[in-house]
Amino acid sequence: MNIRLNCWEYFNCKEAECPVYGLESKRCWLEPGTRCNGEGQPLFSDKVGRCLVCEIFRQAMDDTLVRETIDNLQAQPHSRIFASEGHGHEPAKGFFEVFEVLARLSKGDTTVRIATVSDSRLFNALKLLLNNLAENMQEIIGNSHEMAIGLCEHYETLNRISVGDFTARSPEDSTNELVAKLGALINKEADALTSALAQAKKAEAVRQSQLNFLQTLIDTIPSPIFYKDAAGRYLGCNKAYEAYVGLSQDELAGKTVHGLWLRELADRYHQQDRELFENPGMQVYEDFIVYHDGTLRDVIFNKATFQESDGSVGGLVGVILDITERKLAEDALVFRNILLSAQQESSIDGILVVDENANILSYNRRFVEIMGIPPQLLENKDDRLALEFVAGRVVDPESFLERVGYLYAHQHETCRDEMVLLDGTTLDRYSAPLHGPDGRYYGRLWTFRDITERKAAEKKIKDAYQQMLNIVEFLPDATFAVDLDKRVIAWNRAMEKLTGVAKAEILGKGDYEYALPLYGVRRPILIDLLGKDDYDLTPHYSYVQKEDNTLFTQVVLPPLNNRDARFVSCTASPLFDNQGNQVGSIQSIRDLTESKRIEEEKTRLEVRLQHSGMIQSVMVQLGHDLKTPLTPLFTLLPIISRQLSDPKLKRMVDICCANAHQINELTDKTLNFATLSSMLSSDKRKSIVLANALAELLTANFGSISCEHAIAPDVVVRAEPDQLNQLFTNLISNAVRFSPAQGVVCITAKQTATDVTVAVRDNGIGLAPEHLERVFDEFFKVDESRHEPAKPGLGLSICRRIVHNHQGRIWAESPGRGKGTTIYFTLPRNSV
Amino acid sequence: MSVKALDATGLKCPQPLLKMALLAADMQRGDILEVTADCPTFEADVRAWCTRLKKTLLTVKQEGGYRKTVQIRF
Repeated sequence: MNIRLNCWEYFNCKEAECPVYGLESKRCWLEPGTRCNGEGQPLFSDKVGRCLVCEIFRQAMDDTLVRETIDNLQAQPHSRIFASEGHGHEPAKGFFEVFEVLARLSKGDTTVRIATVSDSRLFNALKLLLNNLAENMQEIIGNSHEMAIGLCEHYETLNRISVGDFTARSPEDSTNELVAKLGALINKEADALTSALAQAKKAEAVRQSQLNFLQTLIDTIPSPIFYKDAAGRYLGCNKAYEAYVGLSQDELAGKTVHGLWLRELADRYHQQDRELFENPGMQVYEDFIVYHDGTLRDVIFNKATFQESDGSVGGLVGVILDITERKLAEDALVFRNILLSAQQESSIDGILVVDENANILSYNRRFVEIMGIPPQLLENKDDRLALEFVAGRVVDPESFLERVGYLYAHQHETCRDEMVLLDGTTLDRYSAPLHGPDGRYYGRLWTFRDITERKAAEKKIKDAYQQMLNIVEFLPDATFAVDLDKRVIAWNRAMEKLTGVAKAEILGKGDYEYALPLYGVRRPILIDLLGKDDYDLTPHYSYVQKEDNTLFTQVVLPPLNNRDARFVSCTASPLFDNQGNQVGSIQSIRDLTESKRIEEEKTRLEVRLQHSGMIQSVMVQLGHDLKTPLTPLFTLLPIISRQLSDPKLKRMVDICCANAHQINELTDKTLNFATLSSMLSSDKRKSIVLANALAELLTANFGSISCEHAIAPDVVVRAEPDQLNQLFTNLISNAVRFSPAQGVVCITAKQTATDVTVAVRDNGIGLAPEHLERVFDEFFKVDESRHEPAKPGLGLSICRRIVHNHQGRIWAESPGRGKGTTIYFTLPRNSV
Repeated sequence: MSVKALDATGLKCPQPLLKMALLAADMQRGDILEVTADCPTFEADVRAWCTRLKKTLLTVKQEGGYRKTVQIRF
């Protein structure tokens, strides 16, 4: 490429004085005295450096251009540069080649090489030199590059390690030995570091686990624990201390006592800490502390300094022992001791306490007084000496010592007994072991009470009591007494008779045992109502009357233990001692059954008398009034009957006639009964030999029924003959009427000193038990369905009336329906 | 991701590399370093550097003469 560039055109230069300005053929880099950039370059050497980097020169720098340029130079032998140097174009060309190489080398381009084909040996040598230089430079630069990159690599490795990447390693394969070795060194150090680090981590883990263990350990300790550095700042604490100050360990760390407590308290703690730091070692003292809830706690501080590895005081560790509860317990204990000793001294009993080794623990003044023991004997605390002394004072020293020995040998035994001293004093001795809540044996307690007076009083009471019992025993009324616990203490003979319960069976028994033989149940009775305002038990009594302290009532005792029901009056009263204290109660029971029965019977009879008087007068009147109109019927009806020819009418009239007769008979019986009822006198009574009277009667016809009597001929009764006849007639008719066709009626009699008892026995239809009484009632019929108008049901009533008129009794006995009936009655025996 | 620029013009190799190494210490993964230099061996050096230090050479921009700007991703 032959581009010819003129510098003045390319740079738009206006330097007219420049030797190349406006010239086409000029090559500015070869022209001395040019004025590039307004500066003159009079010498070639002034401008050659600038020209080598100039664009104009670079554009022209191809072989052709160089050749042409050099040719141009040769064509101008007057050229000052070459004239002075005396060379042709060859040297100029070589010169420029050399310049160019140098220029490129100076830029750092060591790849430049020149062919050494110049004719000039000088230039060839120069070029060879340059080529060598370039090669050497290339090697040096290459080396320096290798070193630089190697450095970069190592730098990066170190940098990575420095930021914690311990896996970073440098390449060790650099061609530069130093760089390679540096890499190996770095890697070795990195390995060592990694290994040291791993060990450190392991050690740290161990340390952390130890720390955790220690923290857990102190956290487990219930006492508050803290530790501070030598400046008094908290380093840490355990959970108990956290609870104490109400701060967490993290909140506590770094604080001083002044950050936790009020100034006055903090100053005290600080003073204590300072003393400990000045005298390193242990420090124990009692103080108080304000719990985080504001309460004051009594505590014991246990503090100790700890040393750093260099032996200096590193700080202190403190343990707080809360003794608030202990102090309270101690105070309570002191109070209790005072209380106990006061109680002991004020006791009326002599008290002695010995420990498990039989050494005297304590005794009271009363013990010394009762036993008369010289105090010096007790002071040496040996129970054996005291025991010996007391044994010398008791009536029976051998059994006394034996008993004591037994109790000491049997730690669990308690004992209560009496011991008598030679001077007649009686002591109530009580001994009990002292056991702790855990069952441990601590010793034995002895108490002695002087009961001499009480014993004497008891004896008196016992005697008086016996007297009273004797009095009660023979009281005619059933009487028993109970103590305050409602246990029977007296039960007299009348009571035994009433209840059938022997004294020995019931004495000492409580729980309403005494109600059992009376009422058949255990329940409160009158004696239990004493002292009660509300008689809530009155359902058992129709009334309870109270007079002062005494209660009265009347009650029916139910039939019990082969005993009939009894109507009794009860009186209950409290028993008092001479001080007026109630000591028991007494109840007496009077049997009023008989008198009540008599009274009732009297009342009943009076009522009946009145009633039957009335009935009687009505019946007598009615009887008479009925008889009168009946008479014409008896007489007229048979006449009418005879005159009637119509058999039907005749039969009707006959029936009327028969009924008229029935009415007549009924009227007779009623009149008879009424007459008997009014008959009270015994004027018409005669001595009657029963057998004879009966024999006469039995001649009468009783049909097919055989009637026999087995009455001794010497049985004589005193009775009205007509009534006796009527009595037997009625009874035998009844017996016959209720007997089977071939029945047998048997009459027997027994006599006693005053009475004769007659029995009329049939083997007829018998009587049900419920009818035995009622058959004697007026108009009573066993079988209502058995309509027999002619039998009005007055037969047995008349019998009863007759017997009663003779001051006798009449009753019926029957084994049951269908098994026959026996009617018994009594009549007075003839007194002659 | 951040882009850092280093002007190493006028510095002879291996000085640009050493400058880059200093900057590289603060570069995070994914960051881009843009270096401009006019040393004739710069490109070759950068390529070698990238290979040896396992960085990615993104671009090489010729800017006339020996002047070049390269982008390297870390």
